[in-house]
Amino acid sequence: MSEENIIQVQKVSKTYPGVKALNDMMLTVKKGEVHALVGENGAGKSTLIKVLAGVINPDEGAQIRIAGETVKQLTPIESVKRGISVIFQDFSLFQNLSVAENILFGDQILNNVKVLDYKKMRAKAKEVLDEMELDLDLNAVVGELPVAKHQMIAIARAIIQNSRLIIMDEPTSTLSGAEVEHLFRIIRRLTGKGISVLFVSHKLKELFTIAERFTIMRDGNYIGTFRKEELDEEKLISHMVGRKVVLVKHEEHEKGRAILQVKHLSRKGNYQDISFTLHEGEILGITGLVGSGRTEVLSTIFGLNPPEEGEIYFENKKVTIHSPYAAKKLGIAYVPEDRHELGFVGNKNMIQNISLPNLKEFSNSLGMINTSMEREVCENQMERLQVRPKLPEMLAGNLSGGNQQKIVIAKWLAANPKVLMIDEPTNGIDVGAKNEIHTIMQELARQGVAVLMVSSDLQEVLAISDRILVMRRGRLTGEFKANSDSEEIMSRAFLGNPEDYEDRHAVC
Amino acid sequence: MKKFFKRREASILVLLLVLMVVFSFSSDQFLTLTNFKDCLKSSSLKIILAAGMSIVLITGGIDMSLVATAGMTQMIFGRLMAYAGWGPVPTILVTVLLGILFGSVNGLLISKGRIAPIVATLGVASVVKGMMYVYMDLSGSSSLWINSNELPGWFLSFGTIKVMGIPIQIIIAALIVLLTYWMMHFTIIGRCVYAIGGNKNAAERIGINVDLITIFVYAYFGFILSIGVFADTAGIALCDPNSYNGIDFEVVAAVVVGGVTMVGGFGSIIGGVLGALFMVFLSNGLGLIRVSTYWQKVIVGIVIIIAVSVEAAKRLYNERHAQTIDVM
Repeated sequence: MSEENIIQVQKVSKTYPGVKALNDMMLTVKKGEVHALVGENGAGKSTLIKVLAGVINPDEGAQIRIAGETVKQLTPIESVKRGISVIFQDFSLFQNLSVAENILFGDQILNNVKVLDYKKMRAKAKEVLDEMELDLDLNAVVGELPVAKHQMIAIARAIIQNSRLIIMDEPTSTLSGAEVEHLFRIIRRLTGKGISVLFVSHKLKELFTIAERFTIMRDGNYIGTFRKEELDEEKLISHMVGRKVVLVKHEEHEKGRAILQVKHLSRKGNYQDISFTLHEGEILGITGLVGSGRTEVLSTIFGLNPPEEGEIYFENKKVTIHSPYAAKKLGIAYVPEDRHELGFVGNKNMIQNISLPNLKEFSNSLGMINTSMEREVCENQMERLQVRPKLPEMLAGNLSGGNQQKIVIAKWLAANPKVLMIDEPTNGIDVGAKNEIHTIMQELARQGVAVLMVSSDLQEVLAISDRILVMRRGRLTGEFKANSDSEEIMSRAFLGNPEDYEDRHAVC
Repeated sequence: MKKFFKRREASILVLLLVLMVVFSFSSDQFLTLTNFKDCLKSSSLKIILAAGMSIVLITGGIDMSLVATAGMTQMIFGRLMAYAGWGPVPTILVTVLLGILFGSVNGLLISKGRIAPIVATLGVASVVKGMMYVYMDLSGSSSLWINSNELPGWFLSFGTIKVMGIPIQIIIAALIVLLTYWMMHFTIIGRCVYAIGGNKNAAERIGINVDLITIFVYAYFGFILSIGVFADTAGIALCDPNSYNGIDFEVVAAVVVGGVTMVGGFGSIIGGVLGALFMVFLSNGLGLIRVSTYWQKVIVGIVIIIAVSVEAAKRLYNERHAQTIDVM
């Protein structure tokens, strides 16, 4: 076996009661390459990573070779010793410890350090950070730093552990623009030094920028390994999904009357002077960098975040929205960004989730619920949105990300909203479901619902919005029509000034 | 330096000093060496427990078995000395082993047994207390007391040793606090404790043997508990299984006042010990100005509520602050 491969795994299977998560999976990663691992949600990517990290034991018969040596039993510490580090999606950092402590922890455990030498620790940590062009306060508590920095700290920790292979699981889900660039620069530097990177991500465009080879998984099976040159986005998606996929294309909608109007909304520490109009049947996309105040604006309209100044008009009448209950009564629905915490109830089944905001519809004056009516309405919604699997009793927490999102949308659709606000509609959702959700949103617009969408995915915004607003640091910095040039949007609004917006602002 | 003053430990230290200043004006007996020596000698166990409990709380756990295990340990070493005539070395050895044993049982139930700490330790408390009553029944005596005239001379002398005028109990407490501080601050064990309290999953993934550290933490607590009980009993010259009732709540409250949170991952030994000192001198001072013990309880309760509320308010403020945007 040539030393060219840093890891070579074959016949890796993992069976859980009732489901085979991995079925004879194989993977080969070369030294110093950036290798992409792709597949829909539920394809088995996380399971495979956990096997490589030693957190899970594969079924009998798995062959794992790391740097030319066959490994029998892999444990977390064994895996690290052999040079594999995994940066999980949650970064596995200790929020209560400092930057230096987090960076060095793995190394200390590895080398059985008993007594701590703070001076040596600081020096070592600084060395790594300098190498990564990072300027961080070593004593800062990680929990108090912004999330983008957490990623860098996790990578620094992997570097110090003398990793030969760094596995990154969805590393860019919380990063934007310049931060992604920085990450890629660091990855290139790492591969230049002979360290391999296994990159798991749903952001296919990014993968084409940074990865050299792609390994595709589907339903726990190995589909194939391809060089970047052999693929394009549609081919890749087709392999991932197993059927031909046509990406949602932009369509024109007829704009109805103005249904929601906000004028000069301001709230200290959140946003300033926000004005726009939303019409029936249109999809208005609000984009911008993470942390530009977009979610805060949606929260305000939903009654969660009262503005200090400004007015909101609904159907041309001035309103004050005190609470989500008031918002719902008006006909405003909100699908939040964090669907796990704020969107669905994980340990309740699909019917219970969908009926939750609408219980009044199925209950009589005594408050008793008509369960057959409830079931009928919910099953209708599930059918309409193609929620899979078709098991209404299944707990929402066990669904895939895309289907969980559909449940959240379904519960609001059951309330027949006039305005549907969605925050990051397809974050963390695989390509197949993403397409379905876009189709759903367009269908809603066609039926006359006003859709207000916040998204950091420029491609998504351009694909389905009728109009696009851009926010930066709490202010509106641009408004564009659907067929705008994306370059212009990026430079103007992501880096621009509110004054530019005021000049060109068109109030309909 | 400025960073030090922002921390919780600094505020407790300041409050402690303010408290002492206030009391030294309210009572001319407060700021005397005698008062300090007496006060610290009788609360030496509490301070030792505060140091140990801080570690337990930082891992996100709690130990509510300490009253029962303290009583049982005292009962056993008391009888070994008084009735079986054992000498100092074997007695102390058995005492320490008992402490480690009880602690390890807690640790095992919590780590391998996956039982929530409060449930596990309360369970152990019940069993141990029950065993004490069973023994009392079997031995035919109506009480478990051992009076000073039954306790061996070496033990009573040990309880009165003074080094440079300072009672041995205070010395032992100070040594234990220093040892605990060193362990938490300068060894990898300390880092692991904070890691487990901060993010247990990440700790496992990084290769920390979470089960082993957990057992160690509770065993260490049992270890210092047993030493503290031995020294304290020697000072009081009396074995009374009920003498420690209520100390569990006091210790946890003191440690929380000192900034150690019950969710785990935050706080320090220094904070816990300062919290204990604060509560100790608070009671001491209130007693000297003739506040009744009942009102003392009320005041202590109010102090605890204020301390916890301040912590909660600070956390809320930080969360809100982290979410604000630097609006253009």
